[in-house]
Amino acid sequence: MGFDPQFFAEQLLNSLQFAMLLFLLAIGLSVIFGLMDYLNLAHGTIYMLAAYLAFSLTQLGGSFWVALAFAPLAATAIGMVLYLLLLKRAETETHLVQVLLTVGVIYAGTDILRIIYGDLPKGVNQPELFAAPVNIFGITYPGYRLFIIGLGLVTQIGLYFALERTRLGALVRAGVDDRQTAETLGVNISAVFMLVFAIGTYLAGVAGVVAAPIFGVYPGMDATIIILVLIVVVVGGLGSLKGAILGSLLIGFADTFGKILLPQFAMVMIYLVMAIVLIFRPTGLLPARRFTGAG
Amino acid sequence: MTSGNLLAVDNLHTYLGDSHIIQGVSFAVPRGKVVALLGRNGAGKTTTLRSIMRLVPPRSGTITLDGKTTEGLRTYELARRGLAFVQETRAIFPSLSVEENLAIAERKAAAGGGWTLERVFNDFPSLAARRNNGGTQLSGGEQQMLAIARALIANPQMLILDEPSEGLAPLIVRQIADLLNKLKSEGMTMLLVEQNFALATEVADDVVVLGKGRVRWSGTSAQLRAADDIRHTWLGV
Ligand SMILES: Nc1ncnc2c1ncn2[C@@H]1O[C@H](COP(=O)(O)OP(=O)(O)OP(=O)(O)O)[C@@H](O)[C@H]1O
Ligand SMILES: [Mg+2]
Repeated sequence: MGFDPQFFAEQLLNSLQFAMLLFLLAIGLSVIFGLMDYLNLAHGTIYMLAAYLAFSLTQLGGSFWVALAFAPLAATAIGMVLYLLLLKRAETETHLVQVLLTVGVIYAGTDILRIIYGDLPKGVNQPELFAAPVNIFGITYPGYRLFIIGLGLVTQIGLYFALERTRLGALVRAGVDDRQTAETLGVNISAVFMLVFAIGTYLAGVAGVVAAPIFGVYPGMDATIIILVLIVVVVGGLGSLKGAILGSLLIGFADTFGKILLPQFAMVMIYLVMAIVLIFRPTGLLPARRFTGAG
Repeated sequence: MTSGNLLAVDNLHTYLGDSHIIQGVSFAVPRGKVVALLGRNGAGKTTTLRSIMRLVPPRSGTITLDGKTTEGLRTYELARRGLAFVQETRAIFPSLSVEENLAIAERKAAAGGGWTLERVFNDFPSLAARRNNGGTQLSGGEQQMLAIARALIANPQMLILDEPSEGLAPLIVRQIADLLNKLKSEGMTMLLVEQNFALATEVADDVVVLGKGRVRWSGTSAQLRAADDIRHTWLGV
């Protein structure tokens, strides 16, 4: 098979599109960990829940846009209740306890959704607005996937400004640096955290809705992606926006090209990237300062 | 005369892990006065301050601020009620600029106090020149000034300082002593932990000497200068 530039361009865009999806999930996981040292794998359940809610909303006659407007909000509300009633109890526990608890939530969530919706994958139609392919870089590429790339970029830029240019962003950075000191200055870190948790959870819900037309909606869709998201966070570095962006790009490309180059061993490429990064940068590429090990 | 005390600590016991670090400490800081808390390394000074701020939970005892117990309050609520804590580590946020370090701490107090960003930059010109620098790009002395300015800009009722002169050159220590004296003359209440005996007794009205988690002596700065045995036994100076 010779080098086909059109095929290559298409795969580059696919990588970028997948990276944006990973990013929408990774940023919440990463900043929730950065602020509260909480490893919340139930983040994946929110992704799956929002996808199912989107399916139900479209079944009820709503458009994709109605689903995108409401499913992430509903999933966020459920996520907050879950946090306050259950996950909060493990705030001061070890990461192992948090992983056990939140993996339990993943299993329970999958089973509950399976009972409600059954085992078979469901589909969500992509929005008509982006149904037509678009000519770009000399290829025709699905408009919907370009929409996901655009959504991811807009989110990244918005989060950058929110973090770097607003008071709330400064409070979040301060909390990630040193939670106790932020408290001594009168910052209610628990309140900041709940807000960050809500935003992160919302973005995971958005990821679930936009992923649904591409991957379908099925029980266990969260477990498939949350592993990759964890790798994104580890490779990119904990608690930082830039880390989440860079990590999701790397893993998005490794996943897409791994599947092409080594179809039987797609994960090998990803683990290879992770191993190489961690050998040279054990704390990931661009972690928040607290996690650089420099103190 | 508890009504004159802004802060009162009564029979405080604090554990770190299983170690009984603070063993029944009592003292008070009258409004408008400066009280120094002195003691050797490991005497329990920092742990006392962290207990007051509830960064470590006291096991028993009562701490009152303005006559009201602080029991059940969180650290950020104590800050909002007027306690400003300058930590031993200075704890400047590395991800924030100098200006952001100050801005997130700014608070207008009912009582006033008049500290604003402009006034801080006016009174601390070295910080003004570096307002957009990262907080940890400053020298040790500048970081200490930033830590104190960050406490002042909350317009607190009381400053709690943990070894502000530690590790700084004599010239900077002098600047810090001058700053503390100036704040004192403006009526700021302070609780000052120090290893620098001369600085502490210059600024403080009253001194509480801690040793191995207990109060070993208390009196005025002048009395302590004359009490050779206490200084030798509990302070090593
Ligand atoms: N996590 C901990 N567990 C048990 N003991 C601790 C812990 N942290 C500190 N200590 C001990 O508590 C005692 C009091 O420490 P503290 O930091 O309050 O002393 P300090 O008077 O502030 O000393 P320094 O002048 O060195 O700052 C010390 O003997 C220290 O070894
Ligand atoms: Mg100390």
